[in-house]
Amino acid sequence: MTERTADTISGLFLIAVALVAGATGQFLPTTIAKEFAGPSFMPTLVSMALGICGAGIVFKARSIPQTQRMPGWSETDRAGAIRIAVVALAVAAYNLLLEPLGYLIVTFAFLVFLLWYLKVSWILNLTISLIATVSTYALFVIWLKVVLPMGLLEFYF
Amino acid sequence: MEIIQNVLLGFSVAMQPINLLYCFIGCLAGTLIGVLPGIGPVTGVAILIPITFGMDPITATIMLAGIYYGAMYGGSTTSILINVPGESASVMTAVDGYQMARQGRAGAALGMSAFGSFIGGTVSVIGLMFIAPPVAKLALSFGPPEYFVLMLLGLATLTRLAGKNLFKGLGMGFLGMLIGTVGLDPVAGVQRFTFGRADLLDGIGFVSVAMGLFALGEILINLEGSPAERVFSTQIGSLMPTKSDWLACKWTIVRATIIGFLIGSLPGAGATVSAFMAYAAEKKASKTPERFGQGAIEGVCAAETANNAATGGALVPLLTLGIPSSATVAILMGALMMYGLRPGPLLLTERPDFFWGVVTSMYIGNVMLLILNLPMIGLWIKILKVPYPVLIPIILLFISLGAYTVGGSYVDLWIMFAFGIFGYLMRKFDYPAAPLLLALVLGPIMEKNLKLSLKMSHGSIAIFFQRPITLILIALIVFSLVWPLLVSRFSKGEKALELPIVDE
Repeated sequence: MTERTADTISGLFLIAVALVAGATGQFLPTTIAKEFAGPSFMPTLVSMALGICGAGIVFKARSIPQTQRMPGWSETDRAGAIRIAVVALAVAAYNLLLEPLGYLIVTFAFLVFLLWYLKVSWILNLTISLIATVSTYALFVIWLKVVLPMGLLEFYF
Repeated sequence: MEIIQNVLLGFSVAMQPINLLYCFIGCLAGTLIGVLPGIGPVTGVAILIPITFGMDPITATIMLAGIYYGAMYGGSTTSILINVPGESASVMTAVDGYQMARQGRAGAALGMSAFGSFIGGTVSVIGLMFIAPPVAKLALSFGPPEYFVLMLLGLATLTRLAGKNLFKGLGMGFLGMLIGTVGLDPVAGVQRFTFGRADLLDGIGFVSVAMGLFALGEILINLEGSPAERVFSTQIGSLMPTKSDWLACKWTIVRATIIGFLIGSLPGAGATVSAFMAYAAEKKASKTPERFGQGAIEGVCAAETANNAATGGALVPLLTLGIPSSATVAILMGALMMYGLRPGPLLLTERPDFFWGVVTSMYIGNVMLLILNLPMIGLWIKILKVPYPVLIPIILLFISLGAYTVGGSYVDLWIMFAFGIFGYLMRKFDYPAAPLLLALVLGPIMEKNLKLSLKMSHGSIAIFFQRPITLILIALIVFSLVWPLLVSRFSKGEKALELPIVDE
């Protein structure tokens, strides 16, 4: 991707966020109890400023030479993109399954999967997964008294 | 005399066994975080906040501060040995440090880094002790207009320094402020952007945002390359710098300590900018500037001394004005508020045991760090050899646990996830993350002060232009925004050093 395209896209994104936030902010009360700056004041002000910055980025992008590539963008590295997607999906799955399956099961499975995916040997994989699951449980649940969901193992605790 | 009494009070708190233990844990964790690339001080402090729940606020803060300044020590190790800065404040260390390592002088570079860090860190604590009380006294006369403009100055400085494109830095600052408006309005108590969800009433948790932006985002970007083992094959050599090294660096240490402390204490500047400025000043002061970039020990010494001196400086605005100077200090401030403390001028008079206990613990911490970083260098090299694929899942587990524990709800997990993806895209599109986080923490406080100011003036913004302190601060804001433009205009032809993206 060229730097000009990247800056134009990101600038337009900021403008879009500013428009949505600014429009939503209009539904908030403008003043309460004779306050000079009511609940809608800050969101409106900041949205406007954000929109101006977005426009500034888009405008400035026009002066970037069209051939200038965006540093850090490698169009051929599909393997990297797949790795990012898999790890991000694993985190999403962890968030999703934490409550129904419980901390111990999901954490162990999460670690085993990621270590396997990142090509760590099986012996090391299972050792790390087991130790990390048990030690974080001991640290957070037993020592710090944090309530973590136990899910399927609820009956046991 | 008063200061001696205060220092004695501080030592009586800091020397308690439990505080010594947590100071050591903080320094150890900080060094580890500094050593590990892909996990910076923001993430480090954020991840360990849950561990401090239930602790005495003094003990907890001693540990979190230890992580902050410990990370500055540890960051030099990876910079020198594998040319991968552990955090942005160590970017300038890598320039000459890695060259020294390639010339077989890694030991001297590591040794000088540790000694420079120790001297810079310790002197900055002394500076903090002397400067904080008068600043706090002055701050007692500040009203909402002064606070509002002061915070604006912090944000303006950081956004200006955080990236090459002014609009991108400012845009991220405003986005952070916008995200900060989610939840209850700070004065009227009206719900804003909560979409009827009770778990958003308290707003978007800054810890989840920090973990997403700085930890998950960084991991995702690192996954683009092959997460293979980093190759390290340098000989360390003697860790003691030679006599000529000391002679070359004696004035460097003095200059870098002063620059580091002063720049670090400016709202919005922080350790990265301090290291950068000290390096640039050293290059300018040198009779042989061409050696810089080729393995000049003064370059390593300047960057490391300054980034540690900045940590003491950075605590001046936090502890006296309640204003964080960088994203890491913003997290620290958030943690203090969670403990029920109110960082600001009253802290010194209301909780002298807290203030002096934390400050004096930094002396002890600096000694601990010298011991941790020199004789234990072998251990850190071993940790450097831990393959990144092993670290990724463990860091991910800790950030998920941290987000869930601090926020106490599933929403925080999803906030962390969403900001992780956003943080990845920000890096891809070359946007700085630090202004967003700082603005998120400062936004609600700024809004409150703005509203109170307008109430005082019956709705007129003239109040900001009628008070001497606000006028000075406004002039500084204009200066901080315009100065870099002037510098770039008048220094054509001379190749300027490029400030790294600030991640602390």
